[in-house]
Amino acid sequence: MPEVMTQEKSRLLNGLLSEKLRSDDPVHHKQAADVINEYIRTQVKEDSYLDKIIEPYPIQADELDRVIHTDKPTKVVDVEPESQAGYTVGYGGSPDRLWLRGRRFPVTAARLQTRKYAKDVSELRTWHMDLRQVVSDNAIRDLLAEKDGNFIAACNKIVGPADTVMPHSGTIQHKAMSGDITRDAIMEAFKVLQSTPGSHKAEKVLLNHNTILDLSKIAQDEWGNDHPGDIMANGWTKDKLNGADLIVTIKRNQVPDKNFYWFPNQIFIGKNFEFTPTTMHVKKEYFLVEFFAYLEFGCGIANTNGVARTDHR
Amino acid sequence: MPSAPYQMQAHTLDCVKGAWPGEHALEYRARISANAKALIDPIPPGRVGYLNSDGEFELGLGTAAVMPLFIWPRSNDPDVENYGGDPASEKFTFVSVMPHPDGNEALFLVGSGAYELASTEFDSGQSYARNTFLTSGTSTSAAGTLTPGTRGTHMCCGMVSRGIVDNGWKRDAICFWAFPVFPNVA
Repeated sequence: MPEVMTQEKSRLLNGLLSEKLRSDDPVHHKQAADVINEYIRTQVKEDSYLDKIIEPYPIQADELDRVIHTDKPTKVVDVEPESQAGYTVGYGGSPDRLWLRGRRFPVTAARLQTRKYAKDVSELRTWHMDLRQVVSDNAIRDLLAEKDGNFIAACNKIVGPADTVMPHSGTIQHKAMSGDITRDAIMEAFKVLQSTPGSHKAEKVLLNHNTILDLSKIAQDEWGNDHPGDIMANGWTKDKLNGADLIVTIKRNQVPDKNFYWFPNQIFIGKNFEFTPTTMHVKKEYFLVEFFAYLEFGCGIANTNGVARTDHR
Repeated sequence: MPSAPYQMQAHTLDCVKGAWPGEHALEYRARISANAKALIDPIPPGRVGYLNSDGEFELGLGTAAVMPLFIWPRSNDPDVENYGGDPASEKFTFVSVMPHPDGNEALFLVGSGAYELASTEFDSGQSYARNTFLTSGTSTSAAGTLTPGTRGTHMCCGMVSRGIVDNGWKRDAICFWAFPVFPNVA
């Protein structure tokens, strides 16, 4: 759970940070960076829905693969080959030969970074608001939005336009559902992912914070218990839907209202490699302080049957 | 005829002197247009082009008044794109999340920056005396390669400084000071 900052705590923290930044001791600069780094890492884990769908793996230099044409970081990942169906043969028949082959895909890295923020350290002392929140909102969330935006763009590319049969699965992976969000509609939506050749059961469902309220409107006779009353009193408190983890995002520009994205277990999706964790660079010169954050990651979806989307009215 | 593998030092852009790289360097990020990729794909580093009205990079300069941009990476470098096929029309594709599934923005050095550049992307059939203006055509797969231009007629992106030099890796490169000289157009 994120720490709740009182105004007094914020003032104390900003004062501490300001003192460290005003110091000429490089050790203090490191400590100032560490204060921010510690918080940032918590925010990344909480706020990137990509990281909740495919857990990031911090890859080390000795795990990278070398290729001839570039020295930019690359990791080659094997993909499980599809097996051929068995067949009936009469007595005396011999099996057809099939040479073993398989697929691989490269995961390559790129860097995300924030703008570089500059400030006179004396001005920092006049702020009563939570400076860490400002840093988080203005800088780190930009990185996370970019990261998640890339992921959802990849998902949309895979599932294609609504009600279109995709060549890789031979099924519709993006279904426009008729009617509103009801129990029947939700259960029908669960079928979309598991109808692909992979027969994947949806284990993670991505939706936005408005859609969760639509889900909350399902009538009591459909729930069959007092859940609606509990929702009215306490809000949505369940973290699962039909056994799948609910991942609720506030990024409505990426995950529109009444849209659901369905994912199987992460081993059936792809890889999410963390090449450089979110890092805050702080530089102080005279009375000016500058800081920016960056991270490097590489991610790819190798199993295009492992994503589905449903749009409800 | 077998093709040799692509080597990193075969096509290069170098900032021999001047303010790049660094936090004060004049650089720019933009996506590469489909038109540019239709001319040559991948686009090697060191080619010159400009921004179209959508803010995307087009290859070559021609005779319009534009700000020259020199592409720093190869257009399919893994930090720019990691293309795994089109799932809308192909089977057994993979889709990159990072870089962006439609490709990241590439990095460019802006033609008005204060630097001397060396690019392997030039027309080796021409002569390059010092103080020769440089431009580039906009059609064919040679679009974006540097060639002598006429001041006032062509959009020029610089002037030859040292002439043809070794890029440091036994490849010829044209060495020039970058700056825009605009054609006489309204």
